[in-house]
Amino acid sequence: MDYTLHLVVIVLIYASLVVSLDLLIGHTGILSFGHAAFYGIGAYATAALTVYAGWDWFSAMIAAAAITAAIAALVGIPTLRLGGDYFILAMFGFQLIVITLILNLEPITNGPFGIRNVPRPSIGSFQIQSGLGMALFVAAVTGIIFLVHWRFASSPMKAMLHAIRDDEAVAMSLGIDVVRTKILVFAIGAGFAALSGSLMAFYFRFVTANSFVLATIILLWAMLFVGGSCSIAGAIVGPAILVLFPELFRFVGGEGLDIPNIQEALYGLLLVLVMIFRPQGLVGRRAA
Amino acid sequence: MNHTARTAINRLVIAAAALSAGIGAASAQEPIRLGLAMPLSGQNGDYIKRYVLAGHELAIKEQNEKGGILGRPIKLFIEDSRNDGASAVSALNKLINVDKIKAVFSIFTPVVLPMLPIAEEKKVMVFAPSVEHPDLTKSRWAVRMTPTAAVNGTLVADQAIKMGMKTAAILTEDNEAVRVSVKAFIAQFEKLGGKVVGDETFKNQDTDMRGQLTKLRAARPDAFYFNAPSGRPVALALKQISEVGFKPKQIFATHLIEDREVMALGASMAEGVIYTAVATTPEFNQRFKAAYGYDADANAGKHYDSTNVLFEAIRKVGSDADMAKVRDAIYNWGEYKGTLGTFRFTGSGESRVLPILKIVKNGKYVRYEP
Amino acid sequence: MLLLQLLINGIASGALYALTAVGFALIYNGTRIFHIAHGAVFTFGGYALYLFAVPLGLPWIVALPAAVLATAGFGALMDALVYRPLRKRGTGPAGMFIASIGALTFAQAVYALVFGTDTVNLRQGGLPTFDIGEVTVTAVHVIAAIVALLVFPVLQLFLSRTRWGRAIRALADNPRLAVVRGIDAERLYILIFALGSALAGLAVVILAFDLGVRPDLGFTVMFVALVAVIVGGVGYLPGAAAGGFLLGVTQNLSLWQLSGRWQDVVVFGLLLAFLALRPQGIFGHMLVTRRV
Repeated sequence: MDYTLHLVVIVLIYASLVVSLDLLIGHTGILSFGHAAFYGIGAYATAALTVYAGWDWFSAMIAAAAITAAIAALVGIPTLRLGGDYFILAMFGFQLIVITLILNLEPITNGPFGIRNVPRPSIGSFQIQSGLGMALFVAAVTGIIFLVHWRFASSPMKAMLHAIRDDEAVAMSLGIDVVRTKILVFAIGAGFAALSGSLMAFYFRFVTANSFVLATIILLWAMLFVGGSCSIAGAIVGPAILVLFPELFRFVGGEGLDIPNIQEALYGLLLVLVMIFRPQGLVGRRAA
Repeated sequence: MNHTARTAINRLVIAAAALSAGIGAASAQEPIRLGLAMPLSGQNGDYIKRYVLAGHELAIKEQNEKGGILGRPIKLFIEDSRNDGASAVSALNKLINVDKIKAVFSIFTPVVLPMLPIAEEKKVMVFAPSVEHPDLTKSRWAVRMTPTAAVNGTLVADQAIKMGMKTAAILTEDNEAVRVSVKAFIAQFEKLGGKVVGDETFKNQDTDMRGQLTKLRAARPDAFYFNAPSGRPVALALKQISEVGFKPKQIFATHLIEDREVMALGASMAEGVIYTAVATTPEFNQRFKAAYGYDADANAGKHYDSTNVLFEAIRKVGSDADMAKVRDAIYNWGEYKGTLGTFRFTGSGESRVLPILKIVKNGKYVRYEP
Repeated sequence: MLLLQLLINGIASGALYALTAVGFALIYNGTRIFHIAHGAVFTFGGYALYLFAVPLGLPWIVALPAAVLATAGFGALMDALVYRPLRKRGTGPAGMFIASIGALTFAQAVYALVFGTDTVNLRQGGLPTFDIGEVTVTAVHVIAAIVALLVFPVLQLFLSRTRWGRAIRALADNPRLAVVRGIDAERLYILIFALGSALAGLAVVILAFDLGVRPDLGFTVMFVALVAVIVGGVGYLPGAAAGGFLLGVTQNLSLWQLSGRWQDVVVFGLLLAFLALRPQGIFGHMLVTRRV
């Protein structure tokens, strides 16, 4: 039971990340490599505030989201006004910088060994213990994140972002302040990613740089496109498939077979085949 | 009825028969379930499979050949924890919830430490014999069987001073456990009147240390101390030391110098290096070599010993139902004689064994006799 | 002296970064594909060299160029198998990128399955070295520098003086117009991939000769190559080369005053400075239109 619950929590956390990434990539056309970095900043900020500064979980979570959104805005201002190529590479660079800073700013981040003993969230004097309680907590927060994104998807704002995504010049001619809107959306997306980071910090009770490396953002992109972009359902389907797929391999026997590498090979093949044969993902509305 | 239905029914019947036979068998011979969650893929995967996993499996195989423990066979469930805590937690969850293990074997601080809260909650013992981080044994469910890193550093410093070295330079992997060793070395070396003239680090993924070695060369130290948790960086460092023309009077290292990778790069590169080690008995090495075709190293020995300590404790307690009793048995064992020497458990999961110094002489690893 | 030694070390590693970066940039500029699988192509060259030199026992003088050619071929193959079907479908840049990730993951896993995850060494012992005063120079230093000094001018000549080279530039500049003007884009893509991969091949054979091969070798080199491309200026090949050298030299010179653990920070500090102050890179001003 606990193992299944654990998998559900992992899928939910990733789903919350993918739905905010979809806001950036699917709806606004901002091809961000930075999402894992913002996830990481949110997780570390939450951990540092609760473990070192003794803040309560709720304030830490909100503060972490605000800090991350602010950082995103700062990063976005110079980079979002440039062309797509620069932005992609700049975000890639940003992600590398964040990891390096995490690994080297030891007084704040404890370097390579991360921050341990993040307290579990509590309501009044009741502290959530592991298992079902945490799963419900994660589901609740993820649910809120999804709700916000779902409401957005049925609002007029969506049309504005789609206009920017499809043709910036035309959007500008329609009176949309493209750069400012992009910066705003970028910051909001980063704030949500930070919330996912808080969830991760509370659930695992530790944060380490290993969880926010390049491989993570690559996984998020894969989840987005295998599930399908511009789709709330896709944001659940993608993570579900790409989390459960490797976990299923734990049950495949085989003496002497290098299961982990076979699984990696199949995973890579899956990505290529999905792009060739079903580029809109399983339930998405736009082809990649 | 049609063919498909008949086949299905046949299959169901066979399955039911197997299941009932299985149930019958299980109640008589319920295996002792142990888990192993280590990075089996990625950079360190091959090393771990070769020495660490091999050590555990040898102990289990030998025990099963003698009839198991308390008449029950031992079954090891193996999971890949990869190199990060989140995957390790996933692996442990599966082992505990699905495979119902009673104890887990693991390695590497970033993999082991996140597992501890779950293990404690589920009353599963964590054997991480070679993890050198001090925080491990703060948990009441963990066991370590190795000298802590600090002792290694002090031993090397003592030896360097004894050999008349006045200055020392250090190059180590940037890793918390290794840093503990380095701090101990520096403290001892300077306490005894030496001077540390260079302290450089490299990251786990780095392959080029020539820059750092060049810088240390310029400091002209008498002694050079190198510490990394796996064989590959050791091999690279030795190669690159000669390439930058760095010739300290004496090189000190750790037991990783016995790793196959160092020899693969060329035995002459390691000649004369003095290193800290815990030595396996020749008899164990013989059995290991017979089983796997190559020599054991200290990690293989540690993990072999940790498996056997668990077996002895279960035997002593008489069952594996209450692991808290097994844990207490181990913590209060006193002296346990393993293949690496005598481990002393004094009320906690920390067990001490003293390292010795060895030297690479004529391509062979021998005890250092000054 | 320490500084001079570090400088020389820096130029040598810079040369390898530059080769990889220019290879990537050539493909990125020419095809607009974020070919992160370039890292896997890079690694392929290392294993090819191993196969030629060790089990097959070919002499180095044959194995080295053969490995470079094999790398070029593998890169072109990847285009044919992965990117061309996607181009036919009209896949956008995000989709191309996901497919590239898939190809990279698949290739790395296959390398690990076939060769194991341990490093495969190509030779034993240290490199031949010779001393000039207080500075020690290894064979790798010399070869890397020579290769870079020869290759880049040759590449530049190829791109500006030959028919094929100019066609590549035209395609990079404006793909639709180039096709309208009769350029066979598909054949050109093969050439671009082969050329870009050959550059990676040159870098990897030097690196593998020195340090051996392991499955994720290319992945780690790609990091630096991408930083080099950003710093040098997207869209301008000599910029990528300059970025590579700048990074190699800065990384090594930083050791003069700072401990080794800060090397990465220096590199990324440089990156951050560029992103904040001059995101188009050193030579970004050359990029009025996309140029190769």
